[in-house]
Amino acid sequence: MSVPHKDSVHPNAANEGSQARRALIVLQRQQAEAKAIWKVMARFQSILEDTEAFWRAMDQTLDEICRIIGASCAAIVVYEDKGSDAKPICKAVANLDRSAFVGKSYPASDPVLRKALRTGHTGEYPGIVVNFDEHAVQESICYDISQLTPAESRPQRAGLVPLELGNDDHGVLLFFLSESTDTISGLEIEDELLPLLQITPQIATAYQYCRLYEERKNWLEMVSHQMVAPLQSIAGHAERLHSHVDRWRVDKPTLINSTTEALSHSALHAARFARNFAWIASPEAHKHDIRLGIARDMRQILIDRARVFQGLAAERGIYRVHVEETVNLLSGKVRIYKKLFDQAVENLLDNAVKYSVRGSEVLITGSLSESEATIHIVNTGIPILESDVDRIFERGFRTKAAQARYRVGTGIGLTIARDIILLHKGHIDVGHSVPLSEDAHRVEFKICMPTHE
Amino acid sequence: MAQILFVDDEPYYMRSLTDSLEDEGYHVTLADSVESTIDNLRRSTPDLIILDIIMPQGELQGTDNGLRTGVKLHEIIRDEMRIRSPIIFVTVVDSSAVIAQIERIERRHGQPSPIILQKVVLPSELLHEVRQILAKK
Repeated sequence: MSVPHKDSVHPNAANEGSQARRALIVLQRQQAEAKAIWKVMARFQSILEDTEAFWRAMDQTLDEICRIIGASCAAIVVYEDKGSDAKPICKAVANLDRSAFVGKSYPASDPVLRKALRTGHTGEYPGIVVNFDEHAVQESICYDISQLTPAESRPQRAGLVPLELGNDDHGVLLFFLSESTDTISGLEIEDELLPLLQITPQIATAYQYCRLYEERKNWLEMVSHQMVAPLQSIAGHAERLHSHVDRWRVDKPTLINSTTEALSHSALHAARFARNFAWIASPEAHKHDIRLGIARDMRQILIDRARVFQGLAAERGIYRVHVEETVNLLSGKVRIYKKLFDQAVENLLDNAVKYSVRGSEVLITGSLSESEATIHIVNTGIPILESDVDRIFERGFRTKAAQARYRVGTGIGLTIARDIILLHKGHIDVGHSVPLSEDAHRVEFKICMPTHE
Repeated sequence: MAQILFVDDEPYYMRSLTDSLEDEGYHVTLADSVESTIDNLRRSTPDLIILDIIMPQGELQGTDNGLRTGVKLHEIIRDEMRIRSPIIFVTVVDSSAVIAQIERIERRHGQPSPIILQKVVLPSELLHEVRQILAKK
C-alpha cells in the first residue's frame, strides 16, 4: 500500500477540509439570513397594495434587513443617467443614521436626507464615489472604507449589490457595516452579498410599483395644472368684464372685444384639453365612429383653428400663426371627421406655438400630389433630434429640451394627433430639423391625408 | 408705485390677474421661466412676488418634470438671493407636503405664514391680498 507523501498531500487535504467546513458554515449562515430576509420581503410585498404606507414600509424593510445582516444602515440608490446623481446621494447615505430608499421618487423634502446632503463632506468616501461616478455597478462589490471613516461610530465596510430595476433603470443596494464581521451571524461582509442578491427581483418589483404610483400621481397633478389654466383665464376675464363693462363701453370699447375673445379662446383650449384627456381615457371610443365628410374649404377650417392660438402666440412673442393660400389646393380633396380633425390640428398648433422662439411665426401651407394631400405646419424653435423622431409621438414622451426650457405638459397632444390622422387613413411625418441659428431650428410636421376620389 | 414680479409660465392665462393689478396702479413685471425670474430679481427687488409652483425647470434640472419648480425657486429667492419681499403663491398645487415645505422656508427667514391661493383665483381675491400685504409694508 502506498502512503502519500506527507508534505505534498496531508497539508492540502487539511486545507481542503477546513475550506470545505468553512464553506459549509458560510452556506448555512447565508441560508439562514436569506430565509429571514425573504420573510421580511414577503411581508413587505403585502404592503404594496397600500400606497400610503409604501415609503414608510420601504424604509422599515431596509432597517430590518440591516438588523439581519448586521449592517449599520442601508439604502437603495437608483441611478440617474448612469450614476450622475448617485454621487451626492451616496455621500449622504453614508452619513445617515437610518436606512433610506433613495430613488427618483424619493421625496426630496425628506429632512434626514436633506440634512445629510447639506452636511456631506466631499471626498469623504472616494472609494464609493469614484465607482458611482464612472459607471454603474455591474457586480456585487465590497469596499474597505475604514481608512476613510476615522470616527469610531462610522461604518468600516461598504457593500454594494447591483439592481436591475426594469425599464432600463439601474441601481444599487448599498449597506454599511461598522465591523468587518457581522457580530450576529459571524458572516463576513463579502458573504452577506449573496443573500441580498437573491432579493433583488423583489426590490425591482417594489421599485416599479412605486415608480408607476409616482408617475400616476404626477401626471394627474399635471393634468389638473393644464385644465385649470384656461379656467383661470375664463373666471378672471368674466369677473373683469362683469365689473367694468359699463365703463369700458364708454372709454375702452376695444377691451370688451379683446376680453370676450380671450374668454372664448380660453374656453376652446379648456374643451380641447378635456377632449384630449377623454381620448386618453378611452382611445378606442372613436374607432368605429368616424363620420367622414368632404372638407370643402380647407383654408377656412385651418384659419378658424389658427385663430384660437393668436392670443396665446402673441403673449409668447410669436409674430403670427398664418395660413397660406396654398392650403386652398386641398379644398374638396380630402375627407375629414371635422370634430376630430380640428382636435388633431389644434394639438399640432399648440405644439408649434409652445416650442417657438420669440419673434418667429407659425406657418401653415398645403401641397397636393396625385394620391396625397399634405398640410405642412412649420415653426421655428427647439429642434427635434434625430434620436427623438421615432419617439416624438409616444404617449408621455417629451424631449429633454422641451421639458427643461419650455412649457410643462402631459405629453399626449402629439400622440392623439397621430392617432386621429391614422383614423383618417393618413399619417403624420416629422421633417428634419434645419438649424437657422444657435437656438432656433426650422421644425416641420406634415399631416398627410389620402385624396378623395 | 409698488413693483410686483408676477411669475407664471403661462402668462396668457393669467392676463386677467396681471391686467387687474395694473388697473390698480401697480407696476407688474412678468417672468415666465426660472431664468427670467432670477434675472429680474438680480436687476431689482420687487415689493411683492407672485409665484406659481408648477413651471418648467430650466436650469434647476431635476426629476419632477417641473411639478415643484416654484418651491425650488422660493428656496433660491430666500436662501441664496436673500430677498425678503413678501411672496403670494398662486397655484393649483394642494399638497400638504409642499405647503409645509413653503412654510418651513418662510419660518426660517422670519417671514409670516405664506399666502397660498389655489387657482382658480379671481382678480378681486388677488387684489384683496395684494392690498393687504402692501399696506403692511
